[in-house]
Amino acid sequence: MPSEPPPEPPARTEERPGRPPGGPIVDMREAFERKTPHTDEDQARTRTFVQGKIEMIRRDPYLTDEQKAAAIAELEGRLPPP
Amino acid sequence: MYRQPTPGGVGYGLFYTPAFKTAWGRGTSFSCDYVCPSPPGGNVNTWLYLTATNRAGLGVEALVAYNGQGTPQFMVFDWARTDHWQTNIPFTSLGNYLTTTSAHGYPYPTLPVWNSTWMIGQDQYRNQALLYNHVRGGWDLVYQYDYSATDAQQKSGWIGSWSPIVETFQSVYVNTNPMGALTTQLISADNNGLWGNWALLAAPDSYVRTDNVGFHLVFLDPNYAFIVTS
Repeated sequence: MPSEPPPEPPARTEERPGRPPGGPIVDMREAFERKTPHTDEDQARTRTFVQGKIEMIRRDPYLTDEQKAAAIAELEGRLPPP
Repeated sequence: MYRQPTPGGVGYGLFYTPAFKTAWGRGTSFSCDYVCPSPPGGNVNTWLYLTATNRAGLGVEALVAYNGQGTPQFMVFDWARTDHWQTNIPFTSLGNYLTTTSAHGYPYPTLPVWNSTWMIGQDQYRNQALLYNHVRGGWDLVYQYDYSATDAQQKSGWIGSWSPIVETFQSVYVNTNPMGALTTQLISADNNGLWGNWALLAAPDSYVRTDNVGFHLVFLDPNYAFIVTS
């Protein structure tokens, strides 16, 4: 049942000179992990982030009105409380 | 003090077709090189994101975040969590990852990113984000999160539909530096969990969108690479 992780993206040495293909993956999560608790500012930024996506939906010229309504409802469900 | 910008849209970018968005089984994975100048230049005075999804509805956005002309940041927004914002690293600490990539004869500042979502058990998924460490020559795992979800949650809905985009929060942009994405590629695992082959994002699997806020195209390699300026 469990799936293996994906293989690495292929090296594109013509665009990244000197890049060796297939180097090992190194776990750097400790260096990158968030060190501080989430704040009200994070909540506000999340609201802006999600609202930006909602505006993207409203402006999308390829979606029907029904598709937009469904997509906006999906995003509104992700909005944190004000 | 947090200042709330006007929610915006798409300066320029690619979206997956509905068929391609759901054309994966137990896993989907995405990689590109963000073309990410520092600073963004021009009149950018609030948020501006270079971001993308891997098609999964509960995947991550491993993105470049601008806030005015300040130091750009690499951030991870995880749609599978309620505390969405996770990694937040300024470019000043990304010397091993920021590099230069040539395209159409010009060198561009780039940040190669790779993010994945795949099933690790019955209704269990893993999100990952990695950055390419050009100093040692390999990918570094910078974020991982395991969570419960269904196949329907991953594949229905609108979230996960955008490939690289310039996400905007102003009504008009002028004189910004070249930005965009190179070498956009994806790979899928089938319903048995077997991964296929990486392939560049193809024109039949995606479409261009622009909201006409001042960005104009420098080049588009349909549809795996684009650069825009304003």
